[in-house]
Amino acid sequence: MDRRTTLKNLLAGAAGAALISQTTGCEQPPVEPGVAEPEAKGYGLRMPHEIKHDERIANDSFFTDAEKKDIGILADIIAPGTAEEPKATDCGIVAFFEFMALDLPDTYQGPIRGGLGWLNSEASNRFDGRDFAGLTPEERIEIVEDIAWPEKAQGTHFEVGANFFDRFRFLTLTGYFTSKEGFKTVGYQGNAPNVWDGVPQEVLDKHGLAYDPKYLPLYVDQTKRDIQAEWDDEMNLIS
Amino acid sequence: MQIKTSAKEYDAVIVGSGAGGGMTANILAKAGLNIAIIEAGPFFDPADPKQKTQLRWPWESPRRGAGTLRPFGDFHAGYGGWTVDGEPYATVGDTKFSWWRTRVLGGRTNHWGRISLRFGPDDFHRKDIDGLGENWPIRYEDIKPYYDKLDKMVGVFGTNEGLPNDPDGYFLPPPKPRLHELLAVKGATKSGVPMIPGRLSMVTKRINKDRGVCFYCGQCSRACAVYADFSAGTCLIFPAMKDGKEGRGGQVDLYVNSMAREVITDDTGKATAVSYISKDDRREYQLKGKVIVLAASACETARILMNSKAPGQTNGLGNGSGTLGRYLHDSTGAGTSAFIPSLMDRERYNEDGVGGMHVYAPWWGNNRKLDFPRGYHLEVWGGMGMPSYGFGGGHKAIQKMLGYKPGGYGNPLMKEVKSYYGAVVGFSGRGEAVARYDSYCEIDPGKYDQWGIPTLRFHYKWSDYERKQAKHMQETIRDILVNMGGKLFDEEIPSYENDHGLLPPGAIIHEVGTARMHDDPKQGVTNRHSALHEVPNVYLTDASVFTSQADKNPTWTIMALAMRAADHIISERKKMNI
Repeated sequence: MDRRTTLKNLLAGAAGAALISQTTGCEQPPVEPGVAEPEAKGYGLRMPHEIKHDERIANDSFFTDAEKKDIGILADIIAPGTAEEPKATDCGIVAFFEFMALDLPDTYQGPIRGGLGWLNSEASNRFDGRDFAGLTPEERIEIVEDIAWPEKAQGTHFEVGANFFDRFRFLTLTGYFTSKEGFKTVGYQGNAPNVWDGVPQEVLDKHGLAYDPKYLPLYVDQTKRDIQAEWDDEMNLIS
Repeated sequence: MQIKTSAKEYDAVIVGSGAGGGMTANILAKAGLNIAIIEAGPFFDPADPKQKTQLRWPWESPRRGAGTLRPFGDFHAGYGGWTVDGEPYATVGDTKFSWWRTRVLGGRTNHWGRISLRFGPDDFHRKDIDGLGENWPIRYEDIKPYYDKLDKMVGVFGTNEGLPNDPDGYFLPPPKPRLHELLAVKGATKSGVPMIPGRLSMVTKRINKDRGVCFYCGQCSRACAVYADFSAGTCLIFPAMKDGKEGRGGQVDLYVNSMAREVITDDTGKATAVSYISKDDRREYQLKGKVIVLAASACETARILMNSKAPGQTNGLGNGSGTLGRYLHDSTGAGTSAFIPSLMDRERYNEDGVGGMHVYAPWWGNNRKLDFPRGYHLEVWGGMGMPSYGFGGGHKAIQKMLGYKPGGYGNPLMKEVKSYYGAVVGFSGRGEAVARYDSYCEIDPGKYDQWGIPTLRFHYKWSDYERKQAKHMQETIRDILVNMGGKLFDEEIPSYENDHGLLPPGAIIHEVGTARMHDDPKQGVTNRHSALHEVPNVYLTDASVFTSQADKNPTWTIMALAMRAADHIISERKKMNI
């Protein structure tokens, strides 16, 4: 039986899809990817509605150039970097804000646009008509100090600004520490094939902890990980 | 337009490719049966570089892994969620039930926590013990040989502890606990809660030639490219397909993107085929089978049966008892977390480990001395996980605990956030609810999904049995966290009016019981072999047949029962009964 006949007999093949078959005694197994089967988009299999969602974002925009400039300035105040560490705008923070505003519009569009508006109005009122970008670094910090501490701002004129800053700070921190550049500063060591053999001894000592001697012989012996598991009839692992 | 029927008759047509469907297919194919598997989602192989999300970095997702499109994050291998595009359901009255669906080859086994717990002897006859619910028609002794086989076939790590209701098994060796888990054991011991090595189905030691050994990336929820974690696609269906191809077993044909609609019966009421809608052309097809196996998940299986008709059977197929859809119950769940000051400014090293907890607490209490009838187990989480969307979110609460002014900006804030990394630990309780006749799903009259299939509506209520259990979870977890030196994020236990923090039903994704097994055809849908009382060539091999849930995760029992049902199918065929 050839592949065509197999598909025809099963009829589902007439739809051109949906069937992944292997046929005993015939040549190569027919593998027909379904037309509804999503394509890879660079970060694993995406479903049709996910591809649509990402395409919509790719063809859309939200923040104006002026807003993007303000986002960069404010994000760099939150994550200014050091001699060794990048600042927020070195980590693609503006593009991340733009993506998230389109990805989660209810969470970010109104609050961030509104908050940037509040910031510029506050700048103008306080500093003779200049917008936030037009302030000196010291003048900007003067406003940030008033909105960066929610308990202090509560019940004052600054509460609205503080609520905005809260959300802005979260998105900056999350965007920074999950970017390729900022991620390194956390010191996360994983996401790589390895053989876990417990907490380093010096760390155990520092925390005054030790492995229970009762369990030590039962934990996986990593030198024998590749030896086929075998048990006796009493459920004891013997290999 | 005519419905297209296959000329070929399979020995068995199986709906669903998860734990139950995958296991049934594997055992039947090994015995030489030719099998069709109908799966509603796409083909999925985590070894395919295009489909693989394992070992990807947060920035490879433009939303940095946020849950915008997938409830458990962008890299999660569970295609689906509590809402599925074009596949609605409803709830009645004050019901808060939410229904998880995974639509992909391998089903939920691609992304579960791999917590693999045998039910214990007591779990099969709770009614004898506390007078509530119903006993199973089988006992631990009936299922033990299958658990034994399962352990060796699929692989689960753990330790033999000789506990009365958390049976020993053929375990692979467990991984050593992480730092926060050692602290958790210490804290729990002070609270009188014994913790033991976890029991999870990752291969920590070679189990066969086809599967790799765990390389400790902690990402089982993304599905493993070397098949070191158990999922039904990679560990049951692929091997069965390969065996069939190489002449060592029956043929296995996979129909993906195919949404099962109903079971077709002949004049005598015998099942003959399954109809499905192809998602590719939206047309209806039928696949003929000598045996029909439904393993579409408890509620989906009930829905297929309710949508099926047979002569003399109204109200759904095999529903003479009227219990189809009834006794729906999910595991209970509650939990909370704390900041552990002694874990501040930790040494950085790779502690990814396996994709789940290395220690846990099986139920330690005695319900005779407590004000609630059923137990729960405790899971622990924490550690230096890979940063993703959400990272940095909790700093204000921690600043407050440390007496700092919450908020801030600039390098002092950046330094603080980094010092908190890996210092938050939480516990989740997962317990047994008492099955109730009044918690159920049924067809929602006049409502259809995008495939034209009638949809479900849900009725579900927690009782005080579950609320009191949740309160106990909340108290115990807080006590352990404080004994670990932790500062609680939520000191106050949610009130009775708020169900003591009990998560709404469906949240734990352990729903069971909609076609419970019972020796009396008037009181259950299936018999002790998981076949419909009224249609002996239809078997259910998902959690729909559970007479009751336990304080365990259901997967290991789903698979042991699926093996047992498959054995029964093979022996009934030999006797020419089906």
